[in-house]
Amino acid sequence: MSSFSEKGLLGELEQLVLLATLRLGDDAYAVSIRDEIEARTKIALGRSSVYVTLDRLDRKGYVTSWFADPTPERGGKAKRCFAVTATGRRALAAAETAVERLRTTSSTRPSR
Amino acid sequence: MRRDLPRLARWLLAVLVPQDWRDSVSGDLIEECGRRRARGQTAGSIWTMAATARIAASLALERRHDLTANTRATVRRITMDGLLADFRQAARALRAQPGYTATAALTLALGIGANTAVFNLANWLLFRPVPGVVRQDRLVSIGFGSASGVQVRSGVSYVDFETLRTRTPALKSLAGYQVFALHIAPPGGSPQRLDAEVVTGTYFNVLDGAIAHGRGFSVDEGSNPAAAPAAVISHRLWTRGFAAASDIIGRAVLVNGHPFTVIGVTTRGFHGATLTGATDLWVPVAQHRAAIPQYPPSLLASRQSRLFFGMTGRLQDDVSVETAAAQLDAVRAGIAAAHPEDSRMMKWRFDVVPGVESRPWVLGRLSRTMTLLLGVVGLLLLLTCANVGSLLLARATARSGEAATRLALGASRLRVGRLLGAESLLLSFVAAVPAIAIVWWSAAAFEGTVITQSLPPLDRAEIDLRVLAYAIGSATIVACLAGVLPAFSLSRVEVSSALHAAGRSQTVSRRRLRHALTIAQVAVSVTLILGATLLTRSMRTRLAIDPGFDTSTVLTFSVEPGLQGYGPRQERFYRELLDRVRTIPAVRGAGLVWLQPFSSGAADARLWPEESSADHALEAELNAVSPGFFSALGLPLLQGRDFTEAEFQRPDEHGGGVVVVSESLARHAFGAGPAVGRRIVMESSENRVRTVVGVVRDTRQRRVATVSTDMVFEPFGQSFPSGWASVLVGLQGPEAPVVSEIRRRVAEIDPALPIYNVERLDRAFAKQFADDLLIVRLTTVFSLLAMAIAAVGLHGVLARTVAERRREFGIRAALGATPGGLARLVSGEATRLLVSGILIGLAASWWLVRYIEARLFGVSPLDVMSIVIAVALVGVVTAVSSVPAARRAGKLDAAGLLRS
Repeated sequence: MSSFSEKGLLGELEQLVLLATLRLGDDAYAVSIRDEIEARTKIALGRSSVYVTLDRLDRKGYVTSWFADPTPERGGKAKRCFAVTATGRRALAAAETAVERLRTTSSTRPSR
Repeated sequence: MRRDLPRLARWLLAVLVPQDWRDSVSGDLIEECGRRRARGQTAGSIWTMAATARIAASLALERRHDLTANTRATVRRITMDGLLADFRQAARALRAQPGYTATAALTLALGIGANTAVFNLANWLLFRPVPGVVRQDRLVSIGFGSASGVQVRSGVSYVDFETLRTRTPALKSLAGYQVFALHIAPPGGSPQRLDAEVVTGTYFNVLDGAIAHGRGFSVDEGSNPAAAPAAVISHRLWTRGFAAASDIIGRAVLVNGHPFTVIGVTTRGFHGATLTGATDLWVPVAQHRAAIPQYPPSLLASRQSRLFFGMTGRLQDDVSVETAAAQLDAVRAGIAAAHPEDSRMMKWRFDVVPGVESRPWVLGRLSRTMTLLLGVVGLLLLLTCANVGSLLLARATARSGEAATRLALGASRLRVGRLLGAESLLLSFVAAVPAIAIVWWSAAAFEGTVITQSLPPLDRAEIDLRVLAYAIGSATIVACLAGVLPAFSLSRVEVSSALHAAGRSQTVSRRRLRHALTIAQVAVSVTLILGATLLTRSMRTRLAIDPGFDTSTVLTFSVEPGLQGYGPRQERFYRELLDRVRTIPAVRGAGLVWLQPFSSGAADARLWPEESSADHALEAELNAVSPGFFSALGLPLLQGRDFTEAEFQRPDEHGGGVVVVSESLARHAFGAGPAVGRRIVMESSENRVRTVVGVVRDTRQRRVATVSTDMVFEPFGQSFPSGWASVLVGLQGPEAPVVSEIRRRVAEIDPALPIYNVERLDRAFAKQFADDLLIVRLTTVFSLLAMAIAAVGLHGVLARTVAERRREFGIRAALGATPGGLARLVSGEATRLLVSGILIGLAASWWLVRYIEARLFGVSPLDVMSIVIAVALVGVVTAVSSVPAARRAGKLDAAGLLRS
């Protein structure tokens, strides 16, 4: 729970990007994350929002990144790959739990 | 296939995107481009650019704190490192040569100081905010203009003011005010006359912040004549008249002899809603019977008494000046429709302008004076630039070896040029300190100066931030102007030749530049001296106007018993006053006059001989005088007699009126024949006929010396009683004891009645030309200063030339040149500079003189005498300043020089 109070609740975008990163495993980088989200949810995110979200998650410590070797099709530029950290997983779980609890409470509230 | 992003995209990424993202983002984009092309989607440079721009901008925004810090650091790295070093080096160089530094800084200080001193004056009179008043950007001034846009000097009645105030929702509040001279005295204290404003109860609401102690007027005090009479006094009156008494609030004072209670003291420096006001007392319009008894008792209910010449309003927060103007005009149209008999409201419009100064006629005159003075000091500053520029150029020459070494070691030319730039900037800022001292001193010197006759003497102009900014600004401009040529010249040093210490060609081109700067200095000083000479000669012509009598032995003072509510009692007062003044020892005579000579008051009469008709009317200056007036001025009656005591203050509504005419009027009206006994008709509603009883010598008594000497005098009080008058006192000895005796004797008649305008007539005469006198004095000072700076500049340039050409002179001497010949070589150079400077200066003057043409009186702008004086003065002074260098050239030791 502490991750909420310090860093705030995860936003929608943050959740989407974290989940996509988890699914992609070793090959999670900006382009593949965006493609994965679009393929699964039909939501086409803007390129810039993916970068901004990754940058924010990185600074919050929810993801970690490393540079993969440059390839010719990338013009010799390195690829920045991402993986979800343990804190990121907890934050994701916490956000889901919070939503779930609220949903349960509202549907089981006794009506007068 | 292209494997990189377009150049612009790369640049965008480099500038905007944080370093940890830069490579991977461009890699991603390149990868995507390839994939899109493979899929047959558009992936041209436009698509790439748009995608890059969006990503770069988003990441930049996300990390903007890092980014600005980065940019700043980069900018600092590029500029500051070098600059700081430059300044440090410049400071070292300046310290190393204290003589040079002192000369240059002093010259700059004079130029910047003179400039800022004049700006300080202009700021004080025209630009500064009114002291104390808050949110002045929400204030508007409302005056009258005709439909054709011409300013009209008139006012609105209290009734119309109230209509305007209540029906203009765009204004939070509206105040009306009018300046009068009133009498004030602490109970039992001596009375004084000062500027006061009769104001509406809203005055201190509109001018919020003007009250420092106590409070402003309430609505009731402003509109209800039965309310307790309240007054607000200025901080100045509080400190000077009441010794800054802490219990001033609630004290009783006498205003025009009526008791008022002081309820407030204004902020220091606040003297009404204008920068040039002198108001020391405020009373509400409801107390008009006590304050301004000359107005009818029905003032508050009458539309005829157009009392308020000035109106100031405070805008509602979200309303523009235009909206307020439109609403005011709509109200005016309403008043005009309701009162068709009042054509003024129909013909005139309200001039609504932002700000508080509501006296454009004063502003116009002042800003013309200030513009001229700023032009003069601007020229002086230009000259200073040329002077210091040539000093810096000399340093550039001396340091070309150093510059070449730096260039050879790999410094950029910009860097080398910047060295001198830093030096001149540093010099200017060093000079700004004594310059501000000059400004401070000049403000003290200007205190009490009369700028124009209609304004009170100047207060001490306080230096504010605006003035400091101006000083810094002009210092920077000077540094740029003076430093740019030398810096440029230093950065263009030819490395090889300078290192070989030959550098002759460069020395020659620099010398040419230095000569040009010297010529400029001589030219500017010729222009300034010529302007000053023209103005001085014009002023002398004016002061030499013969008024026709000896003004130095006539003292004048004024009284206004009407203000104290004398009514018919004033007739006896005037007689008693004259009796008491005439018996003072050392007074040879005294007389009463309606319009004091050389004051701003003036009246004209149209008149014609009885046997003629109005078609042949003559214009003459009219004045009303008592018996004794002519003898007090020392004017003999050429024909006939003076007025008698019986004619003094005798109304002539049933006929029997008399006049005295001037010699020239008598000649114009009656030809060569005798005038005494002839009768004239004076144009008025009744066209009264008057008998000429005397003819007096011609005089000029008008404010601005007029050509006409046609004057007609009638006995004081014959056509109308006057609540105020001036007394002219013929002196037989020193003036001071007479003045104190007059004060004592007037107080014996009425201790509550002050006398004012106590002045000798020669001073009153000179005061008419106050603003021109200020210009003449300042222009003279500044042009002499300019000439001195130019002379020092010429001296420096010649000395430098002699030093540079030592070897040449040595060779010449060895080849047989005489010391005299060498000296002539130098003085020949001086003469060439001088003559070119003078010619250019005269040409410039021919063009610039148009700016003072309107101020010249009795002197042609192409006055030969002035040109001769200016050329001779500049010629002699600069020629003398070239003597030391010429002598040094003559004394050079040829053998020693060649050996060295």
